[in-house]
Amino acid sequence: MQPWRLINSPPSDGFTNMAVDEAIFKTVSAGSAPPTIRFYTWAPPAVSVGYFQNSPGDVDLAACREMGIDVVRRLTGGRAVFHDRELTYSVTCPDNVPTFPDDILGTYKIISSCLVYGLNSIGLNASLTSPMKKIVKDSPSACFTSPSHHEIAIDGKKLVGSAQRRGEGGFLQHGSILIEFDGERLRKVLPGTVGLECVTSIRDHSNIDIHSLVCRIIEGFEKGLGISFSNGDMTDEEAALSRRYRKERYSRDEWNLKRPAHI
Amino acid sequence: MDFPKELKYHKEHCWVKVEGNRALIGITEHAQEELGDIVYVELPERGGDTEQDESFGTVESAKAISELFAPISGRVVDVNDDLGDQPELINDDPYDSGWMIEIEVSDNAELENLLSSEQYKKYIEEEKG
Repeated sequence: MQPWRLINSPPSDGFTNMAVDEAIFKTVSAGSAPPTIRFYTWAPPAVSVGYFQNSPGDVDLAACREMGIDVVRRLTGGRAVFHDRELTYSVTCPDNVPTFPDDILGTYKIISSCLVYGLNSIGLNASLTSPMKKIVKDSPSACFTSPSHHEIAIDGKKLVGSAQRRGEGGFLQHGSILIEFDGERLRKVLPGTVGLECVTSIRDHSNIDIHSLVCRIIEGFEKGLGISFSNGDMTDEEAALSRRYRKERYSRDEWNLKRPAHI
Repeated sequence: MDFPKELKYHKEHCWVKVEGNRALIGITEHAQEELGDIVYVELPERGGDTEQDESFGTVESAKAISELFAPISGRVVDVNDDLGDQPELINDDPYDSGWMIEIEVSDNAELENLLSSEQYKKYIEEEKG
């Protein structure tokens, strides 16, 4: 079986983080790079909004400016996420790898199971949420308090939120693992958020450092997928693509603040 | 599951209904079922082009954005504007009121690359394993 690539990226701003995810999605889907798992953090913190989300409507842009928080539109679906003290994972894989099924929820379930293996190994009582109700258009704007499928919770409180994009011969799934959670800070940037009592973080249960957490999650993926990783970095092609995407898309208000022209 | 015989099918789960030099395009019942509840649709503008096997839009459902791949090439002459307010039409009625775009077909020979109802049915059965 083809070895997977593991990339541990340095902390970066939201524009770079999203540009790198798209660049890797592009090359992995095209078969010019191996299936990849990447871990990253956000500096400065950022709010990411879903591909179709109305960002000026749901995000307090003035508060974000005042607090030094970037706003960036994701390529993936779902609702706004405040990336503050969190570890983010992204998985990119071509369609022709039999490890994952073709469907969205089947892929969620497998990736979430791997994360659960890793989280359980540090003594957290994490488990998959059951598939839930229908998604309602224009329901609460923050991802962590909205209904979801095969997400990860501890004692019914959500710990990990994920989103996916499929197409061009592969999929990208990325998600936030909350390290610390500050509901008041979240509410300043996403004022419409409700259900904060249904959110938990790693710090509520463990003092593990991020490096050790990453190692355990990697072990979870190795066990869950039956794969091995080799440490890697972006290819020159990916580095060039990510610079281009950052410049032409993710650092621009036209992309971040203007919803795509859905009909 | 329904696969109308008068339609042609693309392996990326779109259907085509050809009438003269025009063709309606949408996604199949199988596709809408796999995607789950669709909440947003992004389609090309009138006057835009589609190219066979290339992306022509996206849908958001079940927390994923999925690209739509054009079954045939052509010029977009109409777009189903009702899907803006009622994207659920795609789930409820994928072959009729859930149609997505109408195009002026640029190359009828491309239709030969598509599947018949029977072939598509067999294809998704094989895909499911």
